[in-house]
Amino acid sequence: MAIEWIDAVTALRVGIVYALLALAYFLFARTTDTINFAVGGYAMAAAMLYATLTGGGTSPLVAFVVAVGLGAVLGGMTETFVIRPIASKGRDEFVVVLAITALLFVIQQLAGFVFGRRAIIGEPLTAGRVELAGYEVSFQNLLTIAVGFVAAVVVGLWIGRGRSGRMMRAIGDNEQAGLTLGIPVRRVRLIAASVGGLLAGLAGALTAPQAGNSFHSGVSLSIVGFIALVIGGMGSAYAPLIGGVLLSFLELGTSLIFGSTSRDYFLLAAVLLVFIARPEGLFSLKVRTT
Amino acid sequence: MTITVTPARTDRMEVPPRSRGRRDTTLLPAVFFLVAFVALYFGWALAESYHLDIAMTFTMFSLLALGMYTPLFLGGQIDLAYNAYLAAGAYAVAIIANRTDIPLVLAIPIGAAVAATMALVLGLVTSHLTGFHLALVTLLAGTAAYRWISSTGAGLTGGASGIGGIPRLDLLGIEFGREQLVAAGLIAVWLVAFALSRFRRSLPGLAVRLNRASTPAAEVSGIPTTSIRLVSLAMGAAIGSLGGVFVALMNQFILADSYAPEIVFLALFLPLLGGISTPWGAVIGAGLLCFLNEASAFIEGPGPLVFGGASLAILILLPGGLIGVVALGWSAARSRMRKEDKL
Repeated sequence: MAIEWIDAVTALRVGIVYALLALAYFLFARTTDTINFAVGGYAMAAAMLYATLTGGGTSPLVAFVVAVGLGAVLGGMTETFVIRPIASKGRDEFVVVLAITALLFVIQQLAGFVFGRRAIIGEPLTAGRVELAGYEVSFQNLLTIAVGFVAAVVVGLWIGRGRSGRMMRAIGDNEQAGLTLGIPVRRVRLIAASVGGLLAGLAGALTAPQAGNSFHSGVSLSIVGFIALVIGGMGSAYAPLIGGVLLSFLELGTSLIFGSTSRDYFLLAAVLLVFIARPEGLFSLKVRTT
Repeated sequence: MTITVTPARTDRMEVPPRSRGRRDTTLLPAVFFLVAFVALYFGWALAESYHLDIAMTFTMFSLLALGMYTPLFLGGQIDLAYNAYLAAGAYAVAIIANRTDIPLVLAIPIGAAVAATMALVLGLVTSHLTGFHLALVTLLAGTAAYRWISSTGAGLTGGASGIGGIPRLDLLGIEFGREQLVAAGLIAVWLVAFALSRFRRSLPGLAVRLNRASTPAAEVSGIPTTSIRLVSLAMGAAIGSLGGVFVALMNQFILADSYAPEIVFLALFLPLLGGISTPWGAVIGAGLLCFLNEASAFIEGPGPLVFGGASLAILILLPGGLIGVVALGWSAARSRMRKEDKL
């Protein structure tokens, strides 16, 4: 079955959103050593807020900024009120996992209360379409790809070269050493968590005009983001970007060959395959310890 | 020089201090819950027909939560495919009753075996995974299983519309109607919780808990950590499947939507709310869910939010759950009483 290039544009757009979610995971994992399964919840909350605001007549740009801000606030609050208090008590890993799962659940249910339990679609940031090689492509799609890509690259540069980005990596490698060197660990962790939340919020706000968003979608967003991270690995700040786009293209290929109902089986197979063949993902992290 | 020999305090030596901690504390809660279940059944469940349905919901959630408790709180393994195990029990009943000539009672071991096999296969392919990675794989497996029973495997499972017309279980000449099923369900919950509380304190139970606390320490102690992990996953899955068996026998029909992955999240919080230091915590959590559900359209309305929020608060602030709160209050009251005695 031939893949039309328009399908590739759609896959790229979806892949960029997966990548933003995976990058949010990456930031939490790199600094707080936690897989923050609630990032899909931030994205869902941001999408619901964006759709509700634009549905109420607020300008899409204002709604976009507010929604992305909500993601950042949720990320920062997770670090301050959930991850840090539990980690400071030195509890088992599964307690953190349970707490974050509970947090995702709470965010979903709160969103259901605040924004309603029906699926809603937001207004696009920019209306209009452009004709490319015989197909009409909406500006919103191109904007999603461009904004998502630029955000991923900027965050990659920040992690690689920025002052607080480098501090963040140092803390992730060895928090005690970071403290000894005088790195403001708490502040850097909070910054990383807020940026992680912001990226998830960005993913949500960008997808809000594309498809119906409901309070249930947090879990599925969390799952795809995590899978993108698993595929990409933790070796580089650009690994989530590659993981997200690759996952989306594989998803497209599978649905074209086996039909859309095969998605759930494909996701399970993809994850098992990665865990069996290359558990560290495509790009693995090497920390020099001596 | 005179040497005075102090006679040995044999009365103290006979009871080394360590043995105080090993006092058997499993019997008291078991007796308490046995009395509570008997009172619940005869005093409340039999009074009205819909009370039987609530008691069955309690049974299902209790078995589901006890199943999750086994690998999670004994071994630290997060298995989120419990909707699939529950479905294994329920579909074993429905398929055996409607599509085969096998005696219906065999659905119980067959459902448990299917669930345990699924957990074993998942456990084997994820042998090096823990924490979130295991949670992800099992959640995806649960989702895939739901997809299979609701659409791909519709030829066998009846798809979204499920399977109806399940006959009553007839065992040794006794027909298991609604009343008998609820009684059997409560007995099963009691037995499983009691057995788990005994298991927790037994040597294999200690091995499972040591494996959770520190796998390297368990390995140098000669504990077969891989087998222990697989056994706890399979055991939990088999317990979870029992919940499905009872619900299918009670309702006499099954719907695919009852086995969507969402149910796992609700069940995950039940042992947390009750208290994770004992399997009875899962039973208390399930009871609380059913009680609150009675107060309003709870599960559809604010229920999940209240449960999720309370679980989160408990995880951060009160690691012992409700039993932990009671225990804390009890020890505080006792120390206050002792202080007053001294004064």
